[in-house]
Amino acid sequence: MSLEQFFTDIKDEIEKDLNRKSAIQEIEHQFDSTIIPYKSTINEWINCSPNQLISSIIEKGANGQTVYEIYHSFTTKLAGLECKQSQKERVHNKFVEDSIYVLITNRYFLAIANGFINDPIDIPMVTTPQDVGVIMTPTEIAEILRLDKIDYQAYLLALLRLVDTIVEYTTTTVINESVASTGSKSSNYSIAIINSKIVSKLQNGFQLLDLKNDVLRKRYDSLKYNSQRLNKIVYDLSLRNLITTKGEVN
Amino acid sequence: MSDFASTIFIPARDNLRIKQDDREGVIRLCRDITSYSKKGIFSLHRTISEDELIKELAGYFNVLSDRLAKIQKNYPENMHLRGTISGAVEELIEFFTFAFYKYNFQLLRYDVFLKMIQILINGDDVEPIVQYLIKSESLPEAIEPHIDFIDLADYLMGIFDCTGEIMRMCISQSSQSTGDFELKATLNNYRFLQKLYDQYVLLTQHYSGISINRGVFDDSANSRGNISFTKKLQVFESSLKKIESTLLDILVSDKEII
Repeated sequence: MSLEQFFTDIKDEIEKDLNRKSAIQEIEHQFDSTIIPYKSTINEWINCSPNQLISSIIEKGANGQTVYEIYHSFTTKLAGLECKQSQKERVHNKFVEDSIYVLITNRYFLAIANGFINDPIDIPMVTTPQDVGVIMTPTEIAEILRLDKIDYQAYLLALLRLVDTIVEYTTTTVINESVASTGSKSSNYSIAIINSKIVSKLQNGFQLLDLKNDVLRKRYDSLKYNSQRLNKIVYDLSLRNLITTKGEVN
Repeated sequence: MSDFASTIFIPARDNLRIKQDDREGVIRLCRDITSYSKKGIFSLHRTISEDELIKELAGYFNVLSDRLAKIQKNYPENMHLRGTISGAVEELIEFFTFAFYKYNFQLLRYDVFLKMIQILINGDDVEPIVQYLIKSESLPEAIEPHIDFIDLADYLMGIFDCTGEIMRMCISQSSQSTGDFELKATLNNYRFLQKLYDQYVLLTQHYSGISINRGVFDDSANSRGNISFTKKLQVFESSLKKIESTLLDILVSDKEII
């Protein structure tokens, strides 16, 4: 075989792969742009105190059908691209994980908003016939996104991202309450104990897994630090008798 | 708590264990492919009779046939293991390209390589593959390859390793030198590698950030893939220099004899 011909073929293949990469990046970029409004809403909620959440949730909460349509639309576009499967796989996984993250984070904030209407606060961990659960289950996800098979890896990764969001929400709320303190004790401080219990239960759940040295394990390692931070916040608030509204997660 | 765990984490654990078992299965298959490819290369380096070599190669091909068929079957659900499979595939390419080069003094065509792998995956008779590599007899017609886990990029990386084997062959040729034949063979090998090296260098001048990840080309400087490619090119260059030294030694020795 002619070496020149072989290397000409190599150059052709490189050009094709670079073009494919551009095409796939374009779709990824479009997906990110489409998801941005949902992430902006989540950022708004992070800055909204628990007892003020309910109106914004009703107005801006993500609709399962809409998230499904976005997910389905982009996975269909992705399937239509003439790319190598290994190129598509990474992006497809990202679509799944991001869609799940949007859904479970919306669920979390919905459950918190519902819970803080009442005193004492009582929130179920998973959905019961009486009340919506704080953690959307893989079965619920599969139903909304119409997945043939539950992608547990993507679900668990999204769950770990939710924990980051929960911690951020806790610190932001406590800071906002402290800065705005008027002397009267606020039920919003209870978010710390609620979130601490949620994260603690999630941590117990993750310990049931046989995590290998992969991306899931690396992301899980940050969970313990998040858990410690929440415990410290709860301790500080309790010490100052700032948690006045009882909260339970069951 | 038990409700929560049984709803989410027990099924997740079961699912992840299945994936982990699949992954370990693929890794074992890849190790076998790497192992038997290396055995094949060792056989090619030995001075043994043609019949004996044919017998050994056929044995290796039969094992490779079984392992490759299993990977082909499992690949659709284990695409994330493409990187692991690439390592085994490169070793396989090294084996096939070296075998073909040793008896034909040419680069094995990529499309022909794929046909041979398809024969192995189909579980067909391996004899035509051996005959093709060693005696240039034709392969069966109507073999249409459909292999998802091998790409042209893997082939480019595998050829790097083949150059190392050619260098080793040159060194062992020279140490048994008994006359013009070996010198000529070493000289021809040197010229082939020189042309090949020039082509690789031209490629890097055109795509300075060339890299390969999971069988896909990219052009991004200082990426892990680019560093890996550059190192392989440096190893290739040092192989060339070793052969140059060998040639100089032979030439000087010959003059001393005269």
